[in-house]
Amino acid sequence: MSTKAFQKIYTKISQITKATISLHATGVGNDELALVNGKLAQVVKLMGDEITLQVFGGTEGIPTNAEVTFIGKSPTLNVSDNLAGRFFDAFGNPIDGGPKVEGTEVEIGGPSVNPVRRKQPSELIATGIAGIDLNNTLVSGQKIPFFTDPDQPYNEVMANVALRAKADKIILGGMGLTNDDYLYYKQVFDNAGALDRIVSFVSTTDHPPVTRLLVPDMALCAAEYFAVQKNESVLVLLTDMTLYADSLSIVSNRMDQIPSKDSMPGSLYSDLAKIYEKAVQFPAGGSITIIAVTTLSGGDITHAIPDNTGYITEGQLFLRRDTDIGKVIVDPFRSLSRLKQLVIGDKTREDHPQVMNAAIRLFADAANAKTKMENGFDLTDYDERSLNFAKDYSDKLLAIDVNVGIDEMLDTGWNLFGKHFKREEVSIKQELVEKYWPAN
Amino acid sequence: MGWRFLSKLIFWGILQQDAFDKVDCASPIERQEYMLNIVIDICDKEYNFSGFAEVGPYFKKVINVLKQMNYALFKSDDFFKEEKELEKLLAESQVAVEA
Repeated sequence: MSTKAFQKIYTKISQITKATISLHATGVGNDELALVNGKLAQVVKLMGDEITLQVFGGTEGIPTNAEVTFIGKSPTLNVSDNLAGRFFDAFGNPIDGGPKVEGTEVEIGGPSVNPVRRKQPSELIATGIAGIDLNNTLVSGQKIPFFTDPDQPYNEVMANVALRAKADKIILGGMGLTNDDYLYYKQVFDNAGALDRIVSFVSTTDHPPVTRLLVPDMALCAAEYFAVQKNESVLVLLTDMTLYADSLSIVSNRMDQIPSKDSMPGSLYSDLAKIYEKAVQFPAGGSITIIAVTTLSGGDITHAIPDNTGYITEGQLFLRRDTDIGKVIVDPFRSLSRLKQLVIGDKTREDHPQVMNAAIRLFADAANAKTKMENGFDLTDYDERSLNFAKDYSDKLLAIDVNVGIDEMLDTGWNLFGKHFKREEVSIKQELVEKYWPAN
Repeated sequence: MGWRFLSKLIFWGILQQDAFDKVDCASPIERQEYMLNIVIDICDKEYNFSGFAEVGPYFKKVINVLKQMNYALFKSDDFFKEEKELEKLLAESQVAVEA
């Protein structure tokens, strides 16, 4: 990104805010990149010949007579098979010490796929985590967020999902990762010998916050290359979308935009949808599945970020610490994969829907029993048994450290039913009970 | 009589539907009427229990049979088999006065 001969250099900046500068210039396009005093910047607003640039590195030290040159293109990524196994920053430059990637230069942030060119998602994505595979099965081409408190081990869960999922390529988009988290991902992928199918775009907390805005588009640009050109199933992991939205608000609030709810920009819904709607199943076999992390502040799902996210995505996964067993579980009451009915009992064993529903119903009975207990009421024999069941169920199925196949999860479910309940209490279809009820 | 158990009976026997089940996902009006009549009859009956602790488990059984009926094709052999089962179950705890 160097300057060319006979290039116009502007030297008259009319306004400087913390994240943006404005100047008068002509022949400039929206989203175009520019250099301001050597710092990379991007056009975020055009009004006549008045142009507003967001400066990725912040505007500290930029003088009013700084040299501004326009590069003539929006951010691009060189796509080729050589992306696999590499780590990049938000601009697509290698940060792993390796060489620059040669390949076709593609503008990032293009349009999402036309609905008529899509296929109904129908392929199951197994993660080995029963709270996901059993209760909230994921489907290729789905978009789903993890809603989690910032202190939950969501990066570990994401790394596990990445390694276990049977996807051809995994693209990690890390926004505002701490350096520790970044090294954690790098080390986990390295140790698993899975680096050759993983591409990472990372903007750590060392980078200016505004660079996070480029990360999802970079990751999805790479994903589209593998899904469209190579017909591969691609899993895109985005963490943490809350920090992405925070960066959006930094830029928009420093301009003259009136903030919306929770000081987020009014365009938050569109900004998020632009990312999530890239999830797609192609008829030719390629697919892009998006799993994002949205951290909640104080578990508040009515905040603008999770609220808007929930309207776009196809369900959500909730992480919660179960104090009875001291483990983090996927909360069965608040989690939902809206596409699960496309595969369960169909691509999985016939008893899947019934075991899933029965187990959650019994878990709900245990929650009622717990309320009774906490309020000093007498517990019936059934209450006691459902409480014991709930502990076993949390430990053996809902906990995120579970890693088994779906058939084994179903067998575990039946064993727990048999251990704690009578047949009529479980109330599953008779022919399935006769076939699967444990012998002893 | 324990209204709590009857409300559970109405919930699990009538209102609750299994959208993942081929049969139970759609219930024609004739079937709904048939099941509702059965449930209303159960609610109207007098029961003879020796203690409160018996009531919960008993209605768990009744609910289970109703669910099995809901899973069976309407008026199929399985359906009538479960209905017989239900009548047997109801006869067990009935006050003798019932005709």
